[in-house]
This record gives sequence, C-alpha cells and structure tokens, in this order.
Amino acid sequence: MKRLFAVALGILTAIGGFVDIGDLVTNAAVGSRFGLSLVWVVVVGVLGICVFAEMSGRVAAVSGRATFDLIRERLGPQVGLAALVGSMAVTFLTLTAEIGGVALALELATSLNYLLWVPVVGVLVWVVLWRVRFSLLENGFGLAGLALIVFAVAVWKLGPDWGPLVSEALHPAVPSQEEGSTYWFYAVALFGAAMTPYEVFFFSSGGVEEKWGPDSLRTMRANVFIGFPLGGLLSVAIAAAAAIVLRPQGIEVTTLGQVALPVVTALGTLGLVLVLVGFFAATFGAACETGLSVGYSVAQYFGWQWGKFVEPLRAARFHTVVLLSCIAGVGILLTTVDPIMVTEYSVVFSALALPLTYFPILVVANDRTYLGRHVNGRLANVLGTAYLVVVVVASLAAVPLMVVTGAGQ
Amino acid sequence: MSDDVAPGRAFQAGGPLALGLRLMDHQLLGREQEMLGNVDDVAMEERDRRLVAVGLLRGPGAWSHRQPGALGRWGRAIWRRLHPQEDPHPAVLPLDHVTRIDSAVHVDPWAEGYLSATEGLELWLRQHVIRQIPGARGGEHPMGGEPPPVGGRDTDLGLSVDAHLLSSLLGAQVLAADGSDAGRVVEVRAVQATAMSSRVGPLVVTSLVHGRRRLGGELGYREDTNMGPRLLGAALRWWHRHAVETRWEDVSRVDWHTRRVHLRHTP
Amino acid sequence: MSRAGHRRPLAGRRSLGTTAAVVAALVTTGCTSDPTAVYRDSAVAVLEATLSEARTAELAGRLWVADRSPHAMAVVVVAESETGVGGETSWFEEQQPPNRASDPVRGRTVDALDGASSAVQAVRISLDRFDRPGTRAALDELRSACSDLESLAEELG
Repeated sequence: MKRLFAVALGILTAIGGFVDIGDLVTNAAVGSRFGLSLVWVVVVGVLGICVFAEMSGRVAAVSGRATFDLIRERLGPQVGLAALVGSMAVTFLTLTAEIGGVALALELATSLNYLLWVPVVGVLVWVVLWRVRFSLLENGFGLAGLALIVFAVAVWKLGPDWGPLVSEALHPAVPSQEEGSTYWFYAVALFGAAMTPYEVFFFSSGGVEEKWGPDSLRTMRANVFIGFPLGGLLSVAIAAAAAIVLRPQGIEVTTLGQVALPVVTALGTLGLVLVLVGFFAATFGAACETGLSVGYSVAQYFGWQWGKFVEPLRAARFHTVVLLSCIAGVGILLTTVDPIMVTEYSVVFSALALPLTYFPILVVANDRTYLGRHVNGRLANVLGTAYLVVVVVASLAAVPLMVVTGAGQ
Repeated sequence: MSDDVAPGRAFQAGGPLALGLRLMDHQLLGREQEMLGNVDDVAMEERDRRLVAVGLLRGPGAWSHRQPGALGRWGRAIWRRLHPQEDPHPAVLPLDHVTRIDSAVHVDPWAEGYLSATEGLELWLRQHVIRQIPGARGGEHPMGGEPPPVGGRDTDLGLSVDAHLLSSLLGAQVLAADGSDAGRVVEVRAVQATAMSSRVGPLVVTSLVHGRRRLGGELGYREDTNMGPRLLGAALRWWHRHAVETRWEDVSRVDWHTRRVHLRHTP
Repeated sequence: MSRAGHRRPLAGRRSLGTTAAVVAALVTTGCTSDPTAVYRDSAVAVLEATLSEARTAELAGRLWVADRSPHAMAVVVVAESETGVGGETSWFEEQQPPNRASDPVRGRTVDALDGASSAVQAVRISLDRFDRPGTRAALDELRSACSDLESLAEELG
C-alpha cells in the first residue's frame, strides 16, 4: 500500500513537473497560430523523451553513472568539451528563461513589474539549492504543477466544435495563412521544448543520487511511461485552449498573460488562480532543475563531486557553478531582454544540442559491461536509432529555419 | 558474450583491459561513491622492453594537456599560474591504489585521502567563497571542509623522468618496417602485471590496435562485437574495418617525442 | 510606477523578423521584386501584429468588466499590449516609403495604427481608475479600431 502510494506520487510529480516555461509558451504560441496541426510533433517529442529518459534512467540505476559522465567517457575530452559547452549554454539559457517565467507569473498575480521580481526569484532559487532543500520541494512543486490541469478543464468547459479540431490534429497540414518554413520552424521548436536535454541530465543524476538499483527499474518506467505522456497531454491542452480562444481573434501568443487568457475566459478568477499556481510551480521547479543541471554537466564532465543532496562544503565547485549561473541568469534578465524571447531561443537551441547528448546514451545503454542483461532490447534499439536520426535532422534544420523565418515571424 | 554477464565487471582479474575505453576519462570513486575526479591521463613506463601503465593522472594540468592548440596552452598556463607550487606537476596515483575497475575506477582509502587533499580548486573555493556565505553546511562531513593533510608523500608521486603519457600513445602514427603508414593508434590493450583481485596494480601493454580512422573508435563496438544497436554497430565496424591489432612484441620502438610507433614488420 | 520601458517594445523583435522576412523575400524572388509590394507586405505584417495586441487588450478588458478576472491581471495584460501597439506603430512610422505610390498605403496604415493605439490607451486609463462603465465604452471603441485594422490588412494583403 505504501509502495503504491510512492509510485503514485512519483507519477503525479512527473506529470506536474513535465511542463516548464518552454512548453507553456511554445504550445500556446503554436495553438494560437497553427491550431492543432502540430500536435503530432508533441506526440513524437513525448515518445522521444520517454525512450531516452528510460534509457538514461536504466543506465543510472544499473551502472550508477549519470548521463554527462558517459558523454566524456565515450566521446573523449575534446568532443566532450564541445558537448559540455553546448549543453551548458542551452541549459543556462533555459535557466534564465525559467527565472524570467517565475517573475512574469508573479507580475500577473501582483501587477508589480516583473523586473522587480527577477532578483527575488534568483535569490529564492539559489537559497533552495544552497540549503539543499530541493528534494523536499520537488514533490511539492510537482504536485502543485498539476494545477495546470485547469487547461484541460478549460478546454472542456469552452465546449468547442470538436470535429474540426480533431480533424486538424489527425490530418496535419500547413494552415493557409502561414508559410511552410514557419510551420517547420515551430515543429522544431516544439520538438526542442518536449525533448530538452536538461530533463535527461536531471533525471539520471537524481537516479544516481537516490541510489536507484535494478529493482527500481519498474517504478522508474512507470514514472516515465505514464507520467511523461500525461504531462504531454497537458501540453496539448495548452495548445488547444489557445487554438479555441485566441486563434479566431487573430491573437498570437507573445506574453505569458496571453497564455493564461483562455483559462480566464472559461473559468474566471478561480481559473486564473489555478493557472498562476501552476505557472509558478512549473517554472520555479524547472528553474531549480536547470540550475542543478548546469552544475551537473560541468561537475560530471570534470569528475567533481555533485549532488542535490550534497552540501556546499562537500561540493564547493558544483555549488559555485550553480551560484554563478543564478547570478548570471538574473543579470541577463535585468538587461530587460524579453524573457519570452529568451524562452523561444532556448527551445530552438535545445533542438540544436540534442544529438551530442542522446548519442552517448544510446551507445552506453547497449554496453553489456555496464548493464549486463539490462541492455537495450530490440524495441529500445529500433526506437533509439530512429530517434537518433530524427534528432540529427531537427538539429541540422534548426538554425537554417530560424534564419529563414526570422525566428518564427 | 553471454546474457548473464553481471553488470559492472569491465575487468576481471587476469583479464584484458582496453585502456582507452575502460580507463581513460572514467570517474574516480571512493568507497562511499565520493567523486574524486576523472582519469585525465595514464602514466606509462618502459621497463625491460615492456610498456607498463603505472599510474593515473588527475587534475587541470593533465586535462589541459589533452586539449588541442590554444585551449590546452591557456589551460596549462592558468593552472601553472594559480598552483601554489613553483613548478607544478600533475600528481600521479599509482595503480596499486585502484581496487576495482567497472563503469568507474574505484580507489582505496589512502587514495581517497590523497585525492581529496590535492583538489586545489575545490579546497580554495571552500575556504574563500563557500565558507564566506552564511549557512554553508557540510563542513562536519568526513569528505567536506578541510581534509586531513596527507603524510608528505606528495613529492614521491610526481611524474618520474622517464614516464610517458597514454594520451601521447593514443593517436600516435604507426609506421611499418618499410616506413609505410599503418594508421594511428586507436586502442591500447593491457593485462595486470600480477593477477590480483584485491587491487589492479600495474598493467602491462599486450597489444595496440591501429587503423586509418579514429572517429568513433572509443565507443565500444570493437570490444563487444555483438553490441547494439545493430545498424549503428554495423556502420561503425564497417568504418573501422581496416583496424589491425599488433602485439606489443612486434613493436620495435616508440618515439614519444614525435609520437610515432615503429613496427618490426610490415602488416 | 512607470510602465513605459516595461519591456523592450515588441517592435524590436518584430523589426528583426520583418526585416529578415523582407530580406528573405528579396533573396528568393531576386532583386527584381517590387519595392511597393514589399512595403505593402510589411504594412500587413504590422497591422496583423497590432491587431493581435489590440484584441488581447480587448479580451483582458472585457474579462475584468464582466468581473471574471482580477484587476491586477487585466492591468498587466493591457499595459503589455499598449507597449506592443506603441512599438509597432513607431517602428512603422520610421520606415521610409520606397516611392510616392506607397504614400497612400502609409497614410491609411498609420491612421489605423494610431486609432488602435489611442483606443488601447483609453482602455488603460479607465482601467487604472477602476472605472467600469468608462472601460466598457473604451472597449467598444477598441473593438471598432480592431475591425478597421482587420479590414485594412485584408484589403492590402
């Protein structure tokens, strides 16, 4: 009974923690411009993250090695350094976007300018990681993130004409008033938002720290295969709400307030409260995760001590990197750059950085000296290889599409 | 390889070990899974016509040596400037202190103490940055705060004069007896000098694998011919199909300075 | 507390995008493309972006008037829309029309943009005063300004 409760908690936390500022903004933006014609990308992206999270979770559980550890080991210190710089840059950009997202959510709640909130949020995130309390809050944020289910409730309450919506999702096509290149640009952005590298770093590093073993595999798989897809459903709900309310009005999502408008339209002030709780939980939790992940990637590359449960005087280099990241993230936001724009760039660059992250995972998940009989089966290898191709294609297409479409104009 | 290979036994006592794949760039771990750095390089010595891996190097001095061009030079220069000693050398951990090699390299308690006492950057940051911030915890932990000083054996652990680095051997050009190009060293295989199960000890090089192509050579597809995924493995094995293994006895000499390996015969 | 400069105007980002789109169009169609058409396309893009901002303000305003959203949220959303509309308008006004044939396009577009701009400001003013009837009236003005934007964009596009 207690075990069932623990498993349920894990799944619920995975659902609530799946969505971050990248998912919020990108799904809403896509829904407001393309309706549901890009839902297939969310499906592809969620399946992809499930495949790779399961692999890296399995490697962490059976061999005790976290993802970035493996990258240097298999690719060597030079290519590994390139991978480190790339993924650190993307994860740091995501951290900046998340801190900005928390500040924007607080602005919507209080009408106090978000720039005043940015340093407060930066300090709060750092204090949580400094006092090593993230383990306690992780469950709290994950569960609070379930408040985002209000998007699904709003969609149901809005009672749209389901026929055209479903048809648009099942028969994807470029809408008449949009360019093909913009459609594919947003496909890459949505893919990057679903398959962000930091999620895999965080997931596997947490598994190593919590000392997962081969007997933890079943619980890990439940979290991944049940939790992540349901989290993906939340993403689709966000897109659907925007498609139903904003698209007919010609409103394109460029601010966090616009993301919330459909819910307020359907459910009034109560809906807004839930949405803001959800925004705060999702972005604050993700800010902590990305802060830790920047530290994880550097520390694992160099072999330094790391850990969300490890106190500062045991892991000074790790905590220094986290501290510097928080300061730098706050500094960037205080230059008044638009946090939504930072978010949009972070998801595109996530797509760019994916191959170097996922390729070593696929290789190590097949190494018998690490995993014994837990190596990839036929299905995992077929999916893994297929996704490797998809990830490389998305990565190669990301920058050209960004240039041609002017980042989605 | 059979399905019931227990996970984590990369190295059985007396068995072969691929140094590039299984030793280089791996995590160093203590008894309680404390992370003590990565294997940034391996020290090798030529003894009686054999090449023996004797110790592990760890730290910015060794790491920067493996980075190419300006990055390596700057890294090394910064390390030399910031190091408290006048003429610093990267410390070498003898392989006698390595207890086990699986996905990581496990070391004994003495090595734990030694490695944690020589983590310059970590100790400096603990003292000058972390400790200054209120609420810094972890000082009471055995691996936290100020580690006990290691009894003055530091000077014994420098790189000896006639020692060489594995990183010089990996990627070195291989020349056949007639002077033709036989590719570059992709992997170095070794066995324990004395088969022990309690610790690893010095490793004697048994053979070199060399070929025209280096890219993707360290992924593990050569060591385990059944390793999946099938397509990727087949592609990589095809890419490296010209790779040849040469026993160490067939190597006439190694010119470490110019990074060339001369063979006795023509393959 | 000043809300001007609250965020870098959307125009900063849009102008990069519109310029990039214009450049891309030029590159793909060869430099023989008609500058008049290019200018008209950029006018349409600005009108559509302004429509998006103005309708956002209208939606947020109506939600408050109908007591379905708290005042704070409406204030934030309308302020952001106002900055966006102002940014788009000033960006477009700064663009040099390529030839005299484009002057009517410029004139009508600027009129529509200014109409939307002052309508959003009127909403913001009543909203800040917690003036429900005043806001309702300003929202009706905003609605007609939005339809002007929409019809002009359709006509030019």
